[in-house]
Amino acid sequence: MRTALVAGLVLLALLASAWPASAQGATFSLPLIDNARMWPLVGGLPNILVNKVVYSTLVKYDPKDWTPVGDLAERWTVSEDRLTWTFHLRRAVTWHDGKPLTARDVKFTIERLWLNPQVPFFQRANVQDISRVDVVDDHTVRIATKVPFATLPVMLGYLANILPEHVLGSYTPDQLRNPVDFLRSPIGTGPFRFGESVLGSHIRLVAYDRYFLGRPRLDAIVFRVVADVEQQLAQLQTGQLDLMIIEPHQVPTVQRMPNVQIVDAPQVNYAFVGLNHKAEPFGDRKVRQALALAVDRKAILDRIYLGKGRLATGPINPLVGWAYTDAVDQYPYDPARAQRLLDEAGWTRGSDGIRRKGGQPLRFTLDFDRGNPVREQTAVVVRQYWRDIGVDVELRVSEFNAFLSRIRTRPNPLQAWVLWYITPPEADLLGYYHSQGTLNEFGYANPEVDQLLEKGRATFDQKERARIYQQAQKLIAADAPVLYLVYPAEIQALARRIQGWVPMGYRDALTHMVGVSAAR
Amino acid sequence: MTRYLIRRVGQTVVLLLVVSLVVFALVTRAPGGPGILLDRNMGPSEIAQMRALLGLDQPLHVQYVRWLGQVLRGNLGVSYQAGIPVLEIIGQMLPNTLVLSAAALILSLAVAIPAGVISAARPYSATDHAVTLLALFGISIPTFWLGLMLIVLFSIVLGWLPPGGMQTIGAPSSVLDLVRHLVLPAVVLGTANMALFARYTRSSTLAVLRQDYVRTARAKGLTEGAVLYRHALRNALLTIVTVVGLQLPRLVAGAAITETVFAWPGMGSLAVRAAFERDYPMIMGITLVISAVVAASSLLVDLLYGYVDPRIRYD
Repeated sequence: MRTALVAGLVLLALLASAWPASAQGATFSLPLIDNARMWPLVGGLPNILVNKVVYSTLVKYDPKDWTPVGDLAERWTVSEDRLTWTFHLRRAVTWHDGKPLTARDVKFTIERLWLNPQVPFFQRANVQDISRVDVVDDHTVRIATKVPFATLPVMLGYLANILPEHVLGSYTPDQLRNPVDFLRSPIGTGPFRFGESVLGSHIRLVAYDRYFLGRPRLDAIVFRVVADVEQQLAQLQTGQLDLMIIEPHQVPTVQRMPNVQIVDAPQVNYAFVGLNHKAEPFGDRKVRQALALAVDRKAILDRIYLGKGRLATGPINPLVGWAYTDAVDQYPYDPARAQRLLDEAGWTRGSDGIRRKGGQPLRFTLDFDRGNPVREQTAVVVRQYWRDIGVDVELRVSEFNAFLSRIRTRPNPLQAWVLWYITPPEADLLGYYHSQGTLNEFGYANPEVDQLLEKGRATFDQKERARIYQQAQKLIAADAPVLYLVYPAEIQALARRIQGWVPMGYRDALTHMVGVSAAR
Repeated sequence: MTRYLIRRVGQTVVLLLVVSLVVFALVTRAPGGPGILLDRNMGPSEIAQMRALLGLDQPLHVQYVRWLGQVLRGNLGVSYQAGIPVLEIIGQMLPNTLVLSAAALILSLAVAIPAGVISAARPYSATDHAVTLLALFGISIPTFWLGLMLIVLFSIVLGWLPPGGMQTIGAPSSVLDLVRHLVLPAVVLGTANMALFARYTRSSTLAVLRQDYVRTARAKGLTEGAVLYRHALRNALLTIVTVVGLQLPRLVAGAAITETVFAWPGMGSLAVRAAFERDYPMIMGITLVISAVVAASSLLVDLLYGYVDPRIRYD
């Protein structure tokens, strides 16, 4: 027994000779919760993140003001009738196999992949107003739209990677649905090219020497498959990971790590409590306003988000600076006014404290998903605020996929739910708030707002657009279609050895990796 | 013997069919669909199209028959999540799980057998009680908690071992590197079995020590050590082999919790992710492979018994 113990200790000591944290050269490592497919036509966060560095888009977003700037495109113009866009591509862009990128790749990607009904593309709704693409010459491409579509450049930067025609052009639709061979060694134009993929373990990408903005300063980016958050934290502390996204309650843990700093990164998003206007009592604007006034959103921001974010005033994030306005109804915490509004709406309090109208109690279910502490706490707190004004709220928690698929069902079976949106950096909310919008899960319908959103999409003068969207924000805020809570910052735990990281949410920071470096 | 084999293989095929049918019914009826259909920016038409392309718009029995037809042609389909054939993914993951499970098994036997024998040699002594108490702890400790504690101690505080993963990425792979990554998860995975095997060793050794031939051995003047290891343990091992045999399927099924805690790229963590993402082909493939291995290993154990113990007859 003693021998075994001694032998074991000796063995441990042998193993404990310092294990290398990373290989030679500067490597940047970040976690994925699952294997990534590296195929831009389908979603899933692991896939989206890896694609940001392997592939390029026509435009990306400026870290200063989130406006579209060139990526593969150098500049673009729009015709007099606002139906034809001309994109001038950068010269000297090469695919990772050395072949030059040309306008034909753009035409192929848009027409044969994005708009091809035989191939699934998860962002098709963003680009379906494109009617066709014409190659003018190797470095010029014309994109024609069915209707004037002012949002096009922003949408071309949003999960819209360009793929190589010279590799995929001969694929049948069946092969394009499952391009197994291509995915074994994908070819893009991004700053890092495919190195190796070990399923369940990691994907290693290496610097592409001929990247069009120059060779990246890092030698490699490693995406490690680490599903467990505690394991991610351990790897962050031991230096195997250089970045992870944390929740507010993990901030103290990370603050104790000497090798890690916390970055509150801006991200175009908003957190909200959704209301289903097609279900009673949410069709009544007074009820919705009362529900908004009854919730102390400042307390939620301070205590649940630890102040990391801003109070939300509507569906447009302040990062979209040219369009954002806070000169709208803001619904500061005012339970007394909330009670008055409910009285006016005919919901009066009975002896049991529950409000009733025509004998019907004011009762509904608030749905949320299991596992995200911020949303769990939000649900519990909101329910209490609503109970305080005589609304009988029940909570229902479900697993994330089940919860999402309920919301996506039409008609929406839910009454109220806690969720968030990450949107393109645009004021164009047509999909979400237009009465006919494909993503309008609230069942919100306001003809005036419909008109403004249509007009905003067809207006090309930025000042004029700003006026339109400010008006839309005022109308939406007055309607209180949903309870706008917070514009949360993305809390990034970043290794101090990393230099030049762009302070944006990591979905976008990853499109600006060329200048990032790491001290050994 | 041949008839027996044919019958057993036939039973196995029926079993696999039933298992796959039950699992298929369960996963496809679980609330929420494949994660690949749930992107927040996907409109209803994109979702409908994707469903059609994956064949999810067909009635369930049609989907099942299709899947079965593929399987009979040796194709387990393509993972929704990874976009790679399921068989290929399992082919990469299964060896990793076997390495981890085998290490855990060897480790647990290496500790458990001596501990059990020592316990049996002096029943109800302080040593025996200590072993019993430790075994009780080993069985009761939650896997994830033990894993986290070991990570905190050996990776974060002492900095001796990596907290997770299977290899140092970018470095040339070496056996030493693998062993470094293997130690903690193997200890965690082996702990519960260690306790179990120690208890079995103790009781079976005690039973043997009461046999007549042990008394004879002692009467011949053999040392206590020789009696224990040469006579008692060898016969007690038969019981332990049975218990280990019962654990064999778990070697393949992997350890979902341990693999997840240590980010070990094996069947367990793969199954957990596939379940979360409702990656139907992946779930079905894992189920099928694991069931097949379990059935095969139980058949193997039964055949081995006949070989070891001539009293067993197959008719």
